[in-house]
Amino acid sequence: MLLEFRHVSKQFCNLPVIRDFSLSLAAGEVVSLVGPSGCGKSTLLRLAADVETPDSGQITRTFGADQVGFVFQDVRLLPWMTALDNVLFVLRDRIADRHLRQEKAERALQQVGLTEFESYNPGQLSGGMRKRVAIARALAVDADLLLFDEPFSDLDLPLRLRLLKDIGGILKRGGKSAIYVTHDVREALLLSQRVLVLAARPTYIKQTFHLSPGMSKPDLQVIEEQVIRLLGDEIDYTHFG
Amino acid sequence: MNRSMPSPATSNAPRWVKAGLAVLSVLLLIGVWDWAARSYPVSILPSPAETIEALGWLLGRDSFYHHLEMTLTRSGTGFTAAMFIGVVGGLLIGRFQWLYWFSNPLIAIATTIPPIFWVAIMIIWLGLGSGPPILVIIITATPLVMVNIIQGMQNIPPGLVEMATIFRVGFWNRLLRLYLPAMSGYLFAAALIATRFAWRTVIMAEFIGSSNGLGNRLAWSRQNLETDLAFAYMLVILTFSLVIEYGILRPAQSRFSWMTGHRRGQRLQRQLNTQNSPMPQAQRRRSHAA
Repeated sequence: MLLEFRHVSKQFCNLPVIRDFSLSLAAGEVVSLVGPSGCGKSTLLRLAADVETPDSGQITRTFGADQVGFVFQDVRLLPWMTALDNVLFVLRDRIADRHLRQEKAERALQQVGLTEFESYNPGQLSGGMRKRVAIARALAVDADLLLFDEPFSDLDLPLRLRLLKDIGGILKRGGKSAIYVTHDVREALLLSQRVLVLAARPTYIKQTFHLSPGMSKPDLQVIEEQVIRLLGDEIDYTHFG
Repeated sequence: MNRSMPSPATSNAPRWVKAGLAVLSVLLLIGVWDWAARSYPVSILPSPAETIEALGWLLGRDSFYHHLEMTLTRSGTGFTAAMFIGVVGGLLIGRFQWLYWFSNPLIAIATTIPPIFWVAIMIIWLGLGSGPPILVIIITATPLVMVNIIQGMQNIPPGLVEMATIFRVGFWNRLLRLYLPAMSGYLFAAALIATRFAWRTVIMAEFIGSSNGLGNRLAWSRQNLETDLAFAYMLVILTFSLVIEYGILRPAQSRFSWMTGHRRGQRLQRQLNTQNSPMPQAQRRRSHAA
Protein backbone atom coordinates (compact mmCIF):
# COMPACT_ATOMS: atom_id res chain seq x y z
CA MET A 1 0.00 0.00 0.00
CA LEU A 2 1.31 3.42 -0.92
CA LEU A 3 -0.94 5.35 1.45
CA GLU A 4 -3.28 4.20 4.16
CA PHE A 5 -5.72 6.12 6.34
CA ARG A 6 -6.86 4.10 9.34
CA HIS A 7 -9.80 5.45 11.34
CA VAL A 8 -8.65 9.03 10.91
CA SER A 9 -10.55 11.84 12.56
CA LYS A 10 -9.84 15.55 12.43
CA GLN A 11 -11.41 18.65 13.84
CA PHE A 12 -10.71 22.38 13.66
CA CYS A 13 -11.58 24.59 16.63
CA ASN A 14 -13.88 21.90 18.06
CA LEU A 15 -15.65 21.51 14.73
CA PRO A 16 -15.41 17.87 13.58
CA VAL A 17 -14.45 17.73 9.92
CA ILE A 18 -13.46 14.11 9.37
CA ARG A 19 -14.84 11.17 11.28
CA ASP A 20 -13.39 7.68 11.30
CA PHE A 21 -12.11 7.83 7.74
CA SER A 22 -10.27 4.85 6.31
CA LEU A 23 -8.75 4.54 2.86
CA SER A 24 -6.05 2.44 1.23
CA LEU A 25 -4.34 3.58 -1.92
CA ALA A 26 -2.22 1.15 -3.89
CA ALA A 27 0.69 2.14 -6.09
CA GLY A 28 -0.52 3.14 -9.55
CA GLU A 29 -4.12 3.59 -8.40
CA VAL A 30 -6.24 6.69 -8.96
CA VAL A 31 -9.00 7.37 -6.47
CA SER A 32 -11.54 10.17 -6.69
CA LEU A 33 -13.26 11.80 -3.74
CA VAL A 34 -16.66 13.28 -4.48
CA GLY A 35 -18.72 15.07 -1.90
CA PRO A 36 -20.62 18.22 -0.98
CA SER A 37 -18.81 21.51 -0.48
CA GLY A 38 -17.06 21.88 2.83
CA CYS A 39 -17.21 18.21 3.69
CA GLY A 40 -13.47 17.94 4.29
CA LYS A 41 -12.12 16.74 0.94
CA SER A 42 -9.33 19.33 0.88
CA THR A 43 -8.47 18.48 4.49
CA LEU A 44 -8.06 14.84 3.46
CA LEU A 45 -5.62 15.90 0.77
CA ARG A 46 -3.68 18.02 3.25
CA LEU A 47 -3.54 15.09 5.63
CA ALA A 48 -2.24 12.90 2.81
CA ALA A 49 0.41 15.55 2.02
CA ASP A 50 1.43 15.58 5.70
CA VAL A 51 0.78 19.28 6.22
CA GLU A 52 -1.93 18.42 8.73
CA THR A 53 -1.85 15.76 11.41
CA PRO A 54 -4.89 13.70 12.38
CA ASP A 55 -6.40 14.09 15.84
CA SER A 56 -6.88 10.36 16.03
CA GLY A 57 -6.20 7.37 13.84
CA GLN A 58 -3.17 6.68 11.77
CA ILE A 59 -1.83 7.57 8.35
CA THR A 60 0.83 5.30 6.89
CA ARG A 61 2.94 6.34 3.94
CA THR A 62 5.47 4.25 2.09
CA PHE A 63 6.89 7.27 0.30
CA GLY A 64 9.07 10.16 1.38
CA ALA A 65 7.74 13.52 2.55
CA ASP A 66 9.02 15.15 -0.64
CA GLN A 67 7.37 12.61 -2.91
CA VAL A 68 4.07 14.46 -3.15
CA GLY A 69 2.90 16.58 -6.05
CA PHE A 70 -0.08 18.84 -5.44
CA VAL A 71 -2.32 20.64 -7.92
CA PHE A 72 -4.25 23.31 -6.05
CA GLN A 73 -7.70 24.57 -6.83
CA ASP A 74 -6.37 28.13 -6.87
CA VAL A 75 -3.22 27.20 -8.80
CA ARG A 76 -0.76 29.04 -6.46
CA LEU A 77 1.86 30.02 -9.01
CA LEU A 78 4.45 32.65 -8.10
CA PRO A 79 3.34 35.64 -10.19
CA TRP A 80 6.81 37.21 -10.40
CA MET A 81 8.27 34.12 -12.08
CA THR A 82 7.92 32.67 -15.53
CA ALA A 83 6.19 29.33 -16.09
CA LEU A 84 9.59 27.66 -16.32
CA ASP A 85 10.82 29.30 -13.12
CA ASN A 86 7.70 28.21 -11.30
CA VAL A 87 8.52 24.61 -12.14
CA LEU A 88 12.21 25.11 -11.32
CA PHE A 89 11.23 26.54 -7.91
CA VAL A 90 10.17 23.11 -6.67
CA LEU A 91 13.15 21.34 -8.26
CA ARG A 92 16.01 23.43 -6.88
CA ASP A 93 16.29 21.56 -3.60
CA ARG A 94 15.84 18.16 -5.23
CA ILE A 95 18.25 18.27 -8.15
CA ALA A 96 21.71 19.76 -7.70
CA ASP A 97 22.70 19.63 -11.36
CA ARG A 98 21.56 22.80 -13.07
CA HIS A 99 21.23 21.35 -16.56
CA LEU A 100 19.35 18.30 -15.36
CA ARG A 101 16.98 20.53 -13.44
CA GLN A 102 16.36 22.74 -16.46
CA GLU A 103 15.80 19.71 -18.65
CA LYS A 104 13.29 18.22 -16.24
CA ALA A 105 11.36 21.47 -15.97
CA GLU A 106 11.24 21.89 -19.74
CA ARG A 107 10.07 18.31 -20.16
CA ALA A 108 7.28 18.82 -17.62
CA LEU A 109 6.04 21.86 -19.52
CA GLN A 110 6.32 19.95 -22.77
CA GLN A 111 4.10 17.20 -21.31
CA VAL A 112 1.33 19.75 -20.79
CA GLY A 113 1.90 21.43 -24.13
CA LEU A 114 3.35 24.73 -22.88
CA THR A 115 6.86 24.71 -24.33
CA GLU A 116 6.42 27.96 -26.26
CA PHE A 117 4.99 29.69 -23.19
CA GLU A 118 7.69 28.80 -20.70
CA SER A 119 9.01 32.36 -20.50
CA TYR A 120 5.58 33.87 -19.87
CA ASN A 121 4.52 35.03 -16.43
CA PRO A 122 1.26 33.67 -14.99
CA GLY A 123 -0.35 37.07 -15.53
CA GLN A 124 0.20 36.66 -19.25
CA LEU A 125 -1.37 33.20 -19.42
CA SER A 126 -4.99 32.15 -19.65
CA GLY A 127 -6.70 30.31 -16.79
CA GLY A 128 -6.30 26.97 -18.50
CA MET A 129 -2.63 27.57 -19.19
CA ARG A 130 -2.01 28.47 -15.55
CA LYS A 131 -3.65 25.20 -14.53
CA ARG A 132 -1.34 23.37 -16.91
CA VAL A 133 1.72 25.06 -15.41
CA ALA A 134 0.51 23.92 -11.99
CA ILE A 135 0.13 20.37 -13.31
CA ALA A 136 3.60 20.53 -14.85
CA ARG A 137 4.99 21.66 -11.50
CA ALA A 138 3.35 18.68 -9.77
CA LEU A 139 4.59 16.26 -12.44
CA ALA A 140 8.14 17.61 -12.45
CA VAL A 141 8.91 16.38 -8.94
CA ASP A 142 8.34 12.76 -10.05
CA ALA A 143 6.14 12.24 -7.05
CA ASP A 144 4.90 8.87 -5.88
CA LEU A 145 1.58 10.48 -5.03
CA LEU A 146 -0.26 13.20 -6.92
CA LEU A 147 -3.01 15.13 -5.21
CA PHE A 148 -5.55 17.13 -7.19
CA ASP A 149 -7.84 19.55 -5.39
CA GLU A 150 -10.65 20.42 -7.80
CA PRO A 151 -8.09 21.50 -10.37
CA PHE A 152 -10.58 22.41 -13.11
CA SER A 153 -13.45 23.85 -11.11
CA ASP A 154 -13.32 27.29 -12.73
CA LEU A 155 -12.80 26.22 -16.33
CA ASP A 156 -15.32 25.74 -19.09
CA LEU A 157 -16.44 22.23 -20.02
CA PRO A 158 -14.50 21.73 -23.31
CA LEU A 159 -11.24 22.84 -21.68
CA ARG A 160 -11.94 20.72 -18.64
CA LEU A 161 -12.50 17.61 -20.72
CA ARG A 162 -9.35 18.29 -22.73
CA LEU A 163 -7.18 18.74 -19.65
CA LEU A 164 -8.80 15.73 -18.02
CA LYS A 165 -7.82 13.62 -21.01
CA ASP A 166 -4.27 14.99 -20.77
CA ILE A 167 -4.02 14.17 -17.08
CA GLY A 168 -5.53 10.74 -17.57
CA GLY A 169 -2.94 9.98 -20.22
CA ILE A 170 -0.09 11.26 -18.06
CA LEU A 171 -1.21 9.26 -15.02
CA LYS A 172 -1.65 6.09 -17.05
CA ARG A 173 1.66 6.37 -18.90
CA GLY A 174 3.59 7.16 -15.71
CA GLY A 175 1.79 4.58 -13.57
CA LYS A 176 1.17 7.34 -11.04
CA SER A 177 -0.98 7.13 -7.93
CA ALA A 178 -3.37 9.96 -7.37
CA ILE A 179 -6.19 11.21 -5.19
CA TYR A 180 -8.49 13.43 -7.19
CA VAL A 181 -10.98 15.67 -5.42
CA THR A 182 -13.83 17.00 -7.50
CA HIS A 183 -17.43 18.13 -7.47
CA ASP A 184 -17.86 16.81 -10.98
CA VAL A 185 -19.02 13.20 -10.96
CA ARG A 186 -18.20 12.72 -14.60
CA GLU A 187 -14.58 13.81 -14.05
CA ALA A 188 -14.30 11.28 -11.26
CA LEU A 189 -15.68 8.48 -13.41
CA LEU A 190 -13.46 9.29 -16.39
CA LEU A 191 -10.25 9.43 -14.43
CA SER A 192 -10.26 6.93 -11.59
CA GLN A 193 -10.42 3.27 -10.69
CA ARG A 194 -12.40 4.00 -7.55
CA VAL A 195 -14.87 6.73 -6.69
CA LEU A 196 -15.50 7.44 -3.02
CA VAL A 197 -18.68 9.32 -2.23
CA LEU A 198 -18.27 11.33 0.94
CA ALA A 199 -20.90 12.48 3.35
CA ALA A 200 -21.32 16.05 4.53
CA ARG A 201 -19.16 17.21 7.42
CA PRO A 202 -17.99 15.43 9.53
CA THR A 203 -17.16 13.38 6.50
CA TYR A 204 -16.90 9.64 6.15
CA ILE A 205 -17.22 7.33 3.17
CA LYS A 206 -20.83 6.80 2.23
CA GLN A 207 -20.11 4.41 -0.60
CA THR A 208 -17.31 3.24 -2.86
CA PHE A 209 -17.70 2.54 -6.55
CA HIS A 210 -15.15 0.39 -8.35
CA LEU A 211 -14.57 1.06 -12.01
CA SER A 212 -12.93 -1.39 -14.35
CA PRO A 213 -10.97 -0.39 -17.46
CA GLY A 214 -13.04 -0.36 -20.64
CA MET A 215 -16.33 -0.07 -18.77
CA SER A 216 -19.18 0.64 -21.16
CA LYS A 217 -20.87 4.01 -21.39
CA PRO A 218 -24.25 2.72 -20.12
CA ASP A 219 -22.56 1.19 -17.07
CA LEU A 220 -20.79 4.45 -16.35
CA GLN A 221 -24.05 6.32 -16.66
CA VAL A 222 -25.68 4.01 -14.17
CA ILE A 223 -22.91 4.63 -11.68
CA GLU A 224 -23.10 8.35 -12.37
CA GLU A 225 -26.79 8.34 -11.51
CA GLN A 226 -26.14 6.39 -8.34
CA VAL A 227 -23.43 8.80 -7.25
CA ILE A 228 -25.59 11.83 -7.97
CA ARG A 229 -28.42 10.26 -6.03
CA LEU A 230 -26.13 9.65 -3.08
CA LEU A 231 -24.84 13.20 -3.18
CA GLY A 232 -28.22 14.86 -3.55
CA ASP A 233 -30.42 12.30 -1.95
CA GLU A 234 -32.55 15.00 -0.46
CA ILE A 235 -33.15 16.72 -3.77
CA ASP A 236 -36.16 15.85 -5.85
CA TYR A 237 -34.89 15.54 -9.43
CA THR A 238 -38.23 16.29 -11.02
CA HIS A 239 -37.70 19.01 -13.62
CA PHE A 240 -37.64 22.35 -11.89
CA GLY A 241 -39.46 24.24 -14.64
CA MET B 1 -14.08 58.37 -4.46
CA ASN B 2 -16.18 57.98 -7.58
CA ARG B 3 -15.52 54.46 -8.91
CA SER B 4 -15.49 55.71 -12.51
CA MET B 5 -12.62 58.15 -11.80
CA PRO B 6 -9.10 56.79 -12.08
CA SER B 7 -6.96 57.29 -8.99
CA PRO B 8 -4.11 59.81 -9.39
CA ALA B 9 -1.48 57.08 -9.11
CA THR B 10 -2.90 54.90 -11.87
CA SER B 11 -4.21 57.58 -14.24
CA ASN B 12 -3.44 56.92 -17.89
CA ALA B 13 -2.61 60.60 -18.59
CA PRO B 14 0.45 60.96 -20.87
CA ARG B 15 3.82 61.21 -19.20
CA TRP B 16 4.41 64.71 -20.51
CA VAL B 17 1.28 65.92 -18.74
CA LYS B 18 2.37 64.43 -15.42
CA ALA B 19 5.94 65.72 -15.81
CA GLY B 20 4.71 69.09 -16.98
CA LEU B 21 2.47 69.54 -13.95
CA ALA B 22 5.29 68.51 -11.61
CA VAL B 23 7.68 71.01 -13.21
CA LEU B 24 5.00 73.70 -13.07
CA SER B 25 4.52 73.19 -9.33
CA VAL B 26 8.27 73.51 -8.68
CA LEU B 27 8.49 76.63 -10.86
CA LEU B 28 5.54 78.09 -8.99
CA LEU B 29 7.26 77.42 -5.68
CA ILE B 30 10.44 79.13 -6.90
CA GLY B 31 8.37 82.03 -8.20
CA VAL B 32 6.63 82.52 -4.85
CA TRP B 33 9.98 82.24 -3.06
CA ASP B 34 11.54 84.85 -5.34
CA TRP B 35 8.61 87.22 -4.92
CA ALA B 36 8.67 86.87 -1.12
CA ALA B 37 12.47 87.36 -0.98
CA ARG B 38 12.14 90.81 -2.52
CA SER B 39 10.58 92.04 0.71
CA TYR B 40 13.40 90.81 2.98
CA PRO B 41 17.17 91.22 3.33
CA VAL B 42 19.40 88.29 2.40
CA SER B 43 20.06 87.58 6.09
CA ILE B 44 16.37 86.76 6.53
CA LEU B 45 15.26 85.30 3.21
CA PRO B 46 17.74 85.03 0.33
CA SER B 47 16.29 84.84 -3.17
CA PRO B 48 16.76 81.80 -5.42
CA ALA B 49 19.49 83.66 -7.31
CA GLU B 50 21.35 84.55 -4.09
CA THR B 51 21.04 80.95 -2.95
CA ILE B 52 22.53 79.67 -6.20
CA GLU B 53 25.36 82.18 -5.86
CA ALA B 54 26.07 80.95 -2.34
CA LEU B 55 25.95 77.38 -3.61
CA GLY B 56 28.49 78.23 -6.28
CA TRP B 57 30.78 79.64 -3.64
CA LEU B 58 30.35 76.50 -1.51
CA LEU B 59 31.13 74.15 -4.38
CA GLY B 60 34.43 75.94 -4.89
CA ARG B 61 35.62 75.19 -1.38
CA ASP B 62 37.49 71.95 -0.49
CA SER B 63 36.14 71.96 3.06
CA PHE B 64 32.60 71.62 1.71
CA TYR B 65 33.42 68.21 0.25
CA HIS B 66 34.90 67.07 3.54
CA HIS B 67 31.67 67.95 5.34
CA LEU B 68 29.60 66.37 2.58
CA GLU B 69 31.64 63.18 2.83
CA MET B 70 31.12 63.05 6.61
CA THR B 71 27.37 63.42 6.26
CA LEU B 72 27.10 60.89 3.44
CA THR B 73 29.24 58.37 5.32
CA ARG B 74 27.21 58.70 8.50
CA SER B 75 23.84 58.53 6.80
CA GLY B 76 24.99 55.64 4.58
CA THR B 77 26.35 53.68 7.54
CA GLY B 78 23.27 54.31 9.62
CA PHE B 79 20.95 53.46 6.74
CA THR B 80 22.77 50.20 5.94
CA ALA B 81 22.80 49.09 9.56
CA ALA B 82 19.14 50.04 10.07
CA MET B 83 18.10 48.12 6.94
CA PHE B 84 20.09 45.03 7.87
CA ILE B 85 18.89 44.88 11.47
CA GLY B 86 15.38 45.93 10.49
CA VAL B 87 15.00 43.36 7.71
CA VAL B 88 16.46 40.46 9.71
CA GLY B 89 14.50 41.44 12.80
CA GLY B 90 11.32 41.99 10.79
CA LEU B 91 11.65 38.59 9.09
CA LEU B 92 12.10 36.84 12.43
CA ILE B 93 9.28 38.72 14.12
CA GLY B 94 6.97 38.16 11.17
CA ARG B 95 7.81 34.46 11.17
CA PHE B 96 7.41 33.65 14.87
CA GLN B 97 4.15 34.61 16.53
CA TRP B 98 5.57 34.60 20.07
CA LEU B 99 8.32 37.00 19.00
CA TYR B 100 5.71 39.27 17.46
CA TRP B 101 3.76 39.45 20.73
CA PHE B 102 6.98 39.99 22.65
CA SER B 103 8.38 42.80 20.47
CA ASN B 104 5.15 44.66 19.69
CA PRO B 105 5.24 47.00 22.72
CA LEU B 106 8.96 47.62 22.28
CA ILE B 107 8.49 48.66 18.64
CA ALA B 108 5.58 50.90 19.61
CA ILE B 109 7.76 52.63 22.21
CA ALA B 110 10.70 52.93 19.84
CA THR B 111 8.62 54.52 17.06
CA THR B 112 7.05 57.04 19.44
CA ILE B 113 10.14 58.50 21.08
CA PRO B 114 11.20 61.54 19.02
CA PRO B 115 14.67 61.32 17.43
CA ILE B 116 15.76 64.57 19.13
CA PHE B 117 15.68 62.73 22.48
CA TRP B 118 18.13 60.16 21.21
CA VAL B 119 20.37 62.86 19.73
CA ALA B 120 20.62 64.57 23.12
CA ILE B 121 21.17 61.30 25.01
CA MET B 122 23.80 60.01 22.57
CA ILE B 123 25.76 63.27 22.81
CA ILE B 124 25.71 63.00 26.60
CA TRP B 125 26.84 59.37 26.47
CA LEU B 126 29.23 59.48 23.54
CA GLY B 127 30.19 63.10 23.06
CA LEU B 128 30.62 64.68 19.64
CA GLY B 129 31.68 62.69 16.59
CA SER B 130 30.22 60.20 14.16
CA GLY B 131 28.89 57.79 16.77
CA PRO B 132 25.79 59.70 17.91
CA PRO B 133 24.36 60.44 14.43
CA ILE B 134 24.89 56.87 13.24
CA LEU B 135 23.43 55.34 16.38
CA VAL B 136 20.45 57.68 16.32
CA ILE B 137 19.69 56.66 12.73
CA ILE B 138 19.89 53.01 13.71
CA ILE B 139 17.72 53.43 16.80
CA THR B 140 15.02 55.48 15.06
CA ALA B 141 14.96 53.97 11.55
CA THR B 142 15.26 50.28 12.49
CA PRO B 143 11.80 49.98 14.10
CA LEU B 144 10.21 51.66 11.07
CA VAL B 145 11.94 49.21 8.74
CA MET B 146 10.82 46.34 10.98
CA VAL B 147 7.20 47.45 10.92
CA ASN B 148 7.21 47.42 7.11
CA ILE B 149 8.92 44.05 6.92
CA ILE B 150 6.53 42.54 9.48
CA GLN B 151 3.59 43.79 7.44
CA GLY B 152 5.21 42.35 4.36
CA MET B 153 5.58 38.96 6.03
CA GLN B 154 1.98 39.02 7.21
CA ASN B 155 0.79 39.83 3.70
CA ILE B 156 2.58 37.00 1.95
CA PRO B 157 -0.25 34.90 0.53
CA PRO B 158 -0.54 31.89 2.87
CA GLY B 159 -1.43 29.67 -0.06
CA LEU B 160 2.01 30.24 -1.57
CA VAL B 161 3.68 29.42 1.73
CA GLU B 162 1.64 26.21 1.99
CA MET B 163 2.60 25.32 -1.60
CA ALA B 164 6.27 25.72 -0.68
CA THR B 165 5.71 23.55 2.41
CA ILE B 166 3.99 20.77 0.50
CA PHE B 167 6.70 20.73 -2.15
CA ARG B 168 9.32 20.75 0.62
CA VAL B 169 11.05 23.86 -0.70
CA GLY B 170 14.18 24.64 1.34
CA PHE B 171 14.79 27.71 3.50
CA TRP B 172 17.11 29.72 1.20
CA ASN B 173 15.08 28.96 -1.89
CA ARG B 174 11.96 30.16 -0.07
CA LEU B 175 13.66 33.28 1.25
CA LEU B 176 15.15 34.35 -2.08
CA ARG B 177 12.33 33.35 -4.42
CA LEU B 178 9.19 33.52 -2.29
CA TYR B 179 9.46 35.73 0.78
CA LEU B 180 11.67 38.55 -0.52
CA PRO B 181 9.93 38.95 -3.90
CA ALA B 182 6.50 38.76 -2.23
CA MET B 183 7.61 41.46 0.18
CA SER B 184 9.52 43.56 -2.30
CA GLY B 185 6.98 46.39 -2.19
CA TYR B 186 7.30 46.58 1.58
CA LEU B 187 11.07 46.20 1.37
CA PHE B 188 11.41 49.19 -0.91
CA ALA B 189 8.94 51.18 1.18
CA ALA B 190 11.16 50.41 4.18
CA ALA B 191 14.25 51.53 2.24
CA LEU B 192 12.57 54.81 1.28
CA ILE B 193 11.53 55.47 4.87
CA ALA B 194 14.99 54.58 6.16
CA THR B 195 16.63 56.88 3.59
CA ARG B 196 14.51 59.87 4.49
CA PHE B 197 14.94 59.19 8.18
CA ALA B 198 18.68 58.76 7.82
CA TRP B 199 19.04 62.12 6.08
CA ARG B 200 16.90 64.11 8.48
CA THR B 201 18.34 62.48 11.56
CA VAL B 202 21.96 62.89 10.57
CA ILE B 203 21.47 66.59 9.73
CA MET B 204 19.69 67.13 13.03
CA ALA B 205 22.34 65.26 15.02
CA GLU B 206 25.15 67.15 13.29
CA PHE B 207 23.32 70.44 13.82
CA ILE B 208 23.04 69.86 17.56
CA GLY B 209 26.29 68.15 18.37
CA SER B 210 28.92 67.59 15.78
CA SER B 211 32.12 69.31 14.74
CA ASN B 212 31.66 68.56 11.06
CA GLY B 213 29.12 67.51 8.47
CA LEU B 214 26.45 69.47 6.61
CA GLY B 215 24.31 69.77 9.73
CA ASN B 216 27.21 71.35 11.57
CA ARG B 217 27.71 73.78 8.68
CA LEU B 218 24.03 74.63 8.84
CA ALA B 219 24.45 75.46 12.53
CA TRP B 220 27.42 77.73 11.72
CA SER B 221 25.45 79.53 9.03
CA ARG B 222 22.62 80.13 11.46
CA GLN B 223 25.03 81.45 14.09
CA ASN B 224 26.65 83.87 11.61
CA LEU B 225 23.33 84.86 10.04
CA GLU B 226 24.60 83.57 6.69
CA THR B 227 21.13 82.61 5.63
CA ASP B 228 22.04 82.35 1.95
CA LEU B 229 24.61 79.68 2.88
CA ALA B 230 22.02 77.92 5.03
CA PHE B 231 19.69 77.81 2.04
CA ALA B 232 22.56 76.59 -0.13
CA TYR B 233 23.23 73.74 2.29
CA MET B 234 19.51 72.97 2.27
CA LEU B 235 19.66 72.76 -1.51
CA VAL B 236 22.56 70.31 -1.35
CA ILE B 237 20.73 68.14 1.19
CA LEU B 238 17.56 68.24 -0.90
CA THR B 239 19.43 67.35 -4.10
CA PHE B 240 21.17 64.34 -2.61
CA SER B 241 17.98 63.15 -0.98
CA LEU B 242 16.07 63.39 -4.25
CA VAL B 243 18.88 61.76 -6.26
CA ILE B 244 18.97 58.81 -3.89
CA GLU B 245 15.22 58.43 -3.83
CA TYR B 246 14.36 59.10 -7.48
CA GLY B 247 17.63 58.12 -9.08
CA ILE B 248 18.33 54.89 -7.20
CA LEU B 249 15.58 53.60 -4.96
CA ARG B 250 12.49 54.21 -7.06
CA PRO B 251 14.02 52.86 -10.30
CA ALA B 252 15.20 49.83 -8.33
CA GLN B 253 11.71 49.46 -6.92
CA SER B 254 10.24 49.62 -10.39
CA ARG B 255 12.70 47.06 -11.71
CA PHE B 256 12.61 44.56 -8.89
CA SER B 257 9.27 44.93 -7.21
CA TRP B 258 7.02 41.96 -8.13
CA MET B 259 3.99 44.20 -7.94
CA THR B 260 5.13 46.54 -10.67
CA GLY B 261 6.50 43.58 -12.58
CA HIS B 262 3.03 42.09 -12.50
CA ARG B 263 1.48 45.29 -13.80
CA ARG B 264 4.11 45.40 -16.52
CA GLY B 265 3.10 41.91 -17.51
CA GLN B 266 -0.52 42.93 -17.72
CA ARG B 267 0.37 45.94 -19.87
CA LEU B 268 2.33 43.67 -22.19
CA GLN B 269 -0.66 41.36 -22.40
CA ARG B 270 -2.94 44.25 -23.35
CA GLN B 271 -0.46 45.31 -26.02
CA LEU B 272 -0.42 41.77 -27.35
CA ASN B 273 -4.17 41.63 -27.51
CA THR B 274 -4.48 44.91 -29.38
CA GLN B 275 -1.55 44.30 -31.72
CA ASN B 276 -2.53 40.66 -32.25
CA SER B 277 1.07 39.75 -32.86
CA PRO B 278 3.51 37.38 -31.18
CA MET B 279 5.41 38.85 -28.28
CA PRO B 280 8.59 40.50 -29.66
CA GLN B 281 11.67 38.46 -28.89
CA ALA B 282 13.34 41.32 -26.99
CA GLN B 283 10.42 41.45 -24.57
CA ARG B 284 10.39 37.70 -23.84
CA ARG B 285 12.26 37.30 -20.65
CA ARG B 286 13.98 33.98 -20.99
CA SER B 287 14.90 33.41 -17.42
CA HIS B 288 17.81 31.07 -16.97
CA ALA B 289 16.85 30.86 -13.39
CA ALA B 290 18.79 27.69 -12.73
